[in-house]
Amino acid sequence: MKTHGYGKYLWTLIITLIIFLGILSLSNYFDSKRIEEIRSVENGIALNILSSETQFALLSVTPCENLGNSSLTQELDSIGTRLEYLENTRGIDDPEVIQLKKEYSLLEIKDYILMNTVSEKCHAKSPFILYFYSNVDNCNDCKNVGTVLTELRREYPFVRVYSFDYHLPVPTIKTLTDIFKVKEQFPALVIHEKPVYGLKSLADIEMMMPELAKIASSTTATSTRR
Amino acid sequence: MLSLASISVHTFLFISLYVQIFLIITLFEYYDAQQKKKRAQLTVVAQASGSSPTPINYPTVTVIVPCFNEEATVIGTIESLKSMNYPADKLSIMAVDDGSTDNTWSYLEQYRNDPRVQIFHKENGGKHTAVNFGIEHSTSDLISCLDADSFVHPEALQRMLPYFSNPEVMAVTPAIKVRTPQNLLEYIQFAEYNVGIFLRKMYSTFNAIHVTPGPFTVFRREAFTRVGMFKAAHNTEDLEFALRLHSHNLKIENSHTSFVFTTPPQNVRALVKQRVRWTTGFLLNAKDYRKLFFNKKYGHVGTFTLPAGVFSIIMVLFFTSYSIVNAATSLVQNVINWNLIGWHWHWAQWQWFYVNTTTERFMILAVVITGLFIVFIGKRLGSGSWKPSRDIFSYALLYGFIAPVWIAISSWKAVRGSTPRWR
Repeated sequence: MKTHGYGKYLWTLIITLIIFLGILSLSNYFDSKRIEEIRSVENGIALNILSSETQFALLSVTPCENLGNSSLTQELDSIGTRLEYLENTRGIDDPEVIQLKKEYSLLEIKDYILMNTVSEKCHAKSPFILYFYSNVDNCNDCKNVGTVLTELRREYPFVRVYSFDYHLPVPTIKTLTDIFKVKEQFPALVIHEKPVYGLKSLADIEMMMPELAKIASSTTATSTRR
Repeated sequence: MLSLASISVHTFLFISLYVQIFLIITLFEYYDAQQKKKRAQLTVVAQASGSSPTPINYPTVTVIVPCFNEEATVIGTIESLKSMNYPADKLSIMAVDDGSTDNTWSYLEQYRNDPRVQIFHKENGGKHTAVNFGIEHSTSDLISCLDADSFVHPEALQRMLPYFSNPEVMAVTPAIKVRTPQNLLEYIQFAEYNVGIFLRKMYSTFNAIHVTPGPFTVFRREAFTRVGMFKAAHNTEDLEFALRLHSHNLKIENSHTSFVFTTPPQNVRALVKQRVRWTTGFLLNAKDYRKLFFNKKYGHVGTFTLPAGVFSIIMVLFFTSYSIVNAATSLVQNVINWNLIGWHWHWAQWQWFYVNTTTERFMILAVVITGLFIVFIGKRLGSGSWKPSRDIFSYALLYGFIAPVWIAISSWKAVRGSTPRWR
């Protein structure tokens, strides 16, 4: 290395590039670890789908008291949050993210059908919300409704919120939007099987679903009595 | 797909890392050269042992002290010069009162009968006119200037002399330090000046020093005959003169052990004002000397120092704007959330999955680590210690918040071509 020559500029560039490539590899390593975790979640999803189908089969012979919260539902929130994070870091066009979202959507629909069947059989009042968003036109209100629904789940853990990317190429989602006549207008919420559009606050949703407060107070009363 | 913002962030971080690695490589080269020099000196000493020592031929030196309303510090400055370890018959001190409106002149009059100190009074014309006045009235081999708010180490001048043994060297810059820091702002500047000591030393190894600071740079008289006298130069005459020397392919050295102690601004307003003058002066002079940029004919000052300086200003502007936009977006989002869901606070649960491991984050980490390394090397050069101290913490935590203020103001002034005032 020549001390005062211009070769140092090249040496510096080579060293900086080596550090940059090292950083790139390190970042890719952590990403691959995440993908491994996603794969593991995917396997979990596959297993849960099987579990869900078995529960369907058992439903006709199983008493209501044995049908607690679906194990699927417990995982939905964490998978949903991870998906949102991955969408932000890897991008909405990432094939891994899209694949996971497809499987996640199917899982949600399975859970929705199962919980509807349970509600009907056991005459339980399980509030459902279907939420349709879009990544196509930079829908800011979708992000805000997402925040509202997350808080709603915190306040009322018994509410089942199922979120779907309207434009995800999954035929089952199309079937769902046809059933509930959901227009291409975002954000769209299906509450009491009727679509409502636009940004809604927590108070708006509580007003639209007065049963939330009743169920919450009865749950509190039950837990107090225990 | 990468966004434009992401590409810009990565580009800026890459170039920052490049600049810092360039300086660190220079540091290793410098240490290597020092080791070789020491070994060579030992050989010479071994060969010359027994012979009588060669007498040192001291050159004559004039130190000009330009004063404008410096009644509080000028006496201390002159006394520190008088206390320098240098033959009295070879050193003359010349205080030039540049039309002060306070009691500076009456303070200077106490030296009227001092054979070592000459005092002059002239109409106010700016610092460069006071220094030029002193140069014109001097006859010494070497000429120096010392701002009237600075104080020299007794050995400062002695330690500069060896550099002048190279006839190509036209100026030797000192190591400027903050005098015993007392408050937070002074601690920040203390670390900053130490980083400056490191940078100036590194730049000197490849003749790329872009400023010959007012506090005690020593010039060969020949420098003024070859390139001319000081100019107003957007109130940063020391920066312009260095660039002018480079444009004549002349050499500027640095003596990192010739300590000069300066009195830093005492409040944020004064600090911003001083730095606006420096930074605007840098930008306007860089524009005036744009022919130096990326021109190998003028050496590394044009291929490294000036581009790196301009780049660092653009980078600070970019990251400040980027951070402000992000903070504002986050604030607006929080207000929207508050309207939608009310006030709710939830502790986030730590999970490795959500730890940010993007290339951007790792690049920031690399830039911060190399930056801190440079700060510690500066501390070592300036204070002789590696120990983490209050000045380093203050600098690392707060400098990034105050520097963008003067950089933004200076950039705006430079775009408008307006020269900031001295005071």
